[in-house]
Amino acid sequence: MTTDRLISADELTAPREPGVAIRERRLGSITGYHGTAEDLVRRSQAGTLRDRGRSFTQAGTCSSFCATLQLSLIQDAVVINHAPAGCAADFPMFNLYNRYGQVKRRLEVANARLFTTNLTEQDTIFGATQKLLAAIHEAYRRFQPRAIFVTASCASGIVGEDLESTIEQAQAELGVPVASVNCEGFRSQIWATGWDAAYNAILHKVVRPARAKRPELVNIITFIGEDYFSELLRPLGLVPNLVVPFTTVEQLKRLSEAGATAQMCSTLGTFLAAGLEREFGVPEIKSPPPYGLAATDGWLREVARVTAATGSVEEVIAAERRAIAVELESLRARFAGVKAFVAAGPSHGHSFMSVLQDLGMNLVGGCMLHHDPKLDNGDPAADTLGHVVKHYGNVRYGVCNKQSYEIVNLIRRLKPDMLVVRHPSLVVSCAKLGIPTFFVDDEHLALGYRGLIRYGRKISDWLRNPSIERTLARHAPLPYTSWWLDQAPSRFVGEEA
Amino acid sequence: MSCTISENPRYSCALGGAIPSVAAIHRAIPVLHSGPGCGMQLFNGQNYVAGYQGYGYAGGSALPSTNTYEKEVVFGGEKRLRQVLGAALDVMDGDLYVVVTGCTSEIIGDDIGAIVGEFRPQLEAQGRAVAFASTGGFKGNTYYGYDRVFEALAKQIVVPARRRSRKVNLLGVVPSQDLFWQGNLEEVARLLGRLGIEVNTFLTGDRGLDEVRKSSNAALNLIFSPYLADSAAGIYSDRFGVPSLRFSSVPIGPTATAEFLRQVSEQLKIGEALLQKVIAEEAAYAYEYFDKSSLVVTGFSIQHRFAIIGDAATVIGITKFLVNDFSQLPAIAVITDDPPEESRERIVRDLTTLEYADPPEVVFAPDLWSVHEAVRKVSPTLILGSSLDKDLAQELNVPHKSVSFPATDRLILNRAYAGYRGSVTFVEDLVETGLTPL
Repeated sequence: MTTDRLISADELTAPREPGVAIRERRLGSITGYHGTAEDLVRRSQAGTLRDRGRSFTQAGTCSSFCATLQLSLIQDAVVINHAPAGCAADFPMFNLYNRYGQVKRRLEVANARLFTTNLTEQDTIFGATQKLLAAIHEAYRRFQPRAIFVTASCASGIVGEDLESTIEQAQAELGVPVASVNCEGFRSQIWATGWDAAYNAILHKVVRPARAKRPELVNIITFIGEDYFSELLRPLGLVPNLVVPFTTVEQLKRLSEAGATAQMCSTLGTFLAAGLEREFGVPEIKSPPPYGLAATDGWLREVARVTAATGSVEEVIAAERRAIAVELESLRARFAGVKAFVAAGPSHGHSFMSVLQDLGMNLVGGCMLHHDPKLDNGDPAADTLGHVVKHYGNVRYGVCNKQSYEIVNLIRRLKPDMLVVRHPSLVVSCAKLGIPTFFVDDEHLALGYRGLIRYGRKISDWLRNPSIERTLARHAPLPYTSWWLDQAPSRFVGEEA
Repeated sequence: MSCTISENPRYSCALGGAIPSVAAIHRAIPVLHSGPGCGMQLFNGQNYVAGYQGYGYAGGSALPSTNTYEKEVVFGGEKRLRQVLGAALDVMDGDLYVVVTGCTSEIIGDDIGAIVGEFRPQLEAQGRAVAFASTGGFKGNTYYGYDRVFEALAKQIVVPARRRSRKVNLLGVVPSQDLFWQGNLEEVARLLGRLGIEVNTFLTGDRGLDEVRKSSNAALNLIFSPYLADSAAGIYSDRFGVPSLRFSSVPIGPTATAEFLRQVSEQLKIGEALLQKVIAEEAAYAYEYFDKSSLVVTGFSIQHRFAIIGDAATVIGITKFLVNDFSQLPAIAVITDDPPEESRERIVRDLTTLEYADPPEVVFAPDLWSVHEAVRKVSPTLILGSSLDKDLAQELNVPHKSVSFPATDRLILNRAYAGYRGSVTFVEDLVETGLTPL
């Protein structure tokens, strides 16, 4: 595969066509692979990667979830889900994340402002654009939001609702940005496409050209973790601007003013980071996110270079490494010989692969929810799995869109001593195997040099008492047949398309 | 179902009700023929936010699902369903498999019944069973989905069996949507057990498929909802001659529970002496604790003009207890489950024929904004609602407790408010709201 940019300027920006191409088409992303990390990296670079489908599947997630979640957490916006009421089932969960994050970030705690147009059978036959228009006006009347996002659904997509003209009309009437978000669940197997759709709406309807530059500001595309970026950037005289969750519309408008954009997970923010560089001239930090020693060194150097930071980056790196050296050695002694397995989304899961190996564990495998053979920036330096292979060596590796039957089967074979799992629904299945299972609640916990220590301490405690996992393994059976557990994990993974 | 827009609704869709209803049955496996996100979204959107009550045996990320994409939308999803259902029977260790559908397969128009029928002979030979329910999300809400599942089970799984004169089926309690479904069903079953009555709750215990299959041997269905389980009750009556007795909610507290036990005993010809003995013993247990609670209840003069917000059954059950047994004053009752028009008169009657106090204002509103506007007007001193109502309680500077869906501010496992014992638990929760800062 070439390193040229995969998306044309038209595809990324065209204002009259707000849709963003799905990741399968845009990046060649896949959800089915069994092999090794090295092989996957090689095939991604060579452009020979092909997806493998599954004849048996379990429930995954969809683009709508990812898109609506990101937008729900913008504090002075409103999200309208143009969908049957069921697609709003996740609203209470988004509200929970909203309140949880507001407490963490010391903001006023209040409900997220979320609406559903409650599409009915009648609406799927006769259309519901009038209902949508009424919803937009009612949402505005109630909250006077600074922006309104309308997220699409399978139902609105299949019946072919013309959201655009309705949205343009509402925007003209209300005078605030009203954006459609093309996150129909059925369009992509890769739910990360939903982030792209949400960011596309922000990029084209909210962000404005910079009036003045703030070179010390670094946009960091994140979820809802603690702000550990400040401690990492402060010595360089830089200030993190955590986006999109818990921002205001005004803050998003001014994303263009920053000196650079970085991400806590490059599969999360690939579209927004590349778009901000392309359209607003904000350079993207392409080196892998700062998890693990090598990535943190590289990331800080790159941030310093791009932003012309004031502090001496080499001094900062040396001082930070010195500060953690003693405790890192004792953690490494503690974890020597501990076999670990990571199940998470890319590229955040790649970060854990580095962190666990820096802590001295023996990584026996990883399974990620999808794989992007390249990112929107098209830069090979941004390859997070390549970084892991280069610095830590090869390891057994799978790509699987949250198919717990397959992951459980694989883990049983590899017999790790501990699991690091990012997705709450997978945690339960994994814990029932009787293996200490650490759920990554705060995705920033392991960040930077000090994060290695924070994370190591936490995991060390977690390993000290696995009584609940042992109990679950004995008394809470997994719902799989013994026939299945004797099959190869890739049994239902088909040939390459 | 309401067709208007809604802010932060308090239920999901038909599929959202169907999944937990199937998953709660012992060793039953829901098989989703739906879009890729429906399964996780709905399991999170029902079970996770219902007091974090967990995934059970085959819920959450274990749910088999066809995950219909563009290809199925264009070319139909029947082939895909055949493939996934066939594999699910090999991979998932279950006794009962229930195919439930989402919006996409309904819009495409797949013939689910035909495909399920292909697998039926093979499964029956193995002592397993398969059924299907049409639960396209846009057809109705969570409650509607529960109804479709129990209608489907009554039609497709229940077989004729010899009548047992002291056996009942419990219906009308929707898992997860009713936060206290498990504890409440267990407590109702315990009380009926004391009268010598066997109970099929379907959703608790470990009898699963066998319990569903032979549920035609019950002498009576007990329904705990002003409107749910109507179609299942019709099938039990027409096909198996099992009548139903409807209560608007599970009984909470001594007054309602005694009345409940009396009505059931009358129907099942339970001897008066036994009934009196059970009521006296159970009531004495509760009254002993009410006596002890009076130290704090009178000591802090705990009497509220309360607002209660939630589904009709929860609102009726709690209001009756608080008013008829516990000296509280009902200010407003907001019904958020969008009950069918024809059931609303019954709901209003239940809430306005109270033994003590002036009846509350009764409002039907599924939309958060409208709910809060109505509650503000009556200036309550306590809000019993969902965790969505915490903001309002803070605004009005009054205590709050989550008693209806969703509840993200408490863990709910086997907690029960039903019966005599449950009412004691409820008093603990009620009084605690005012003591938290101390």
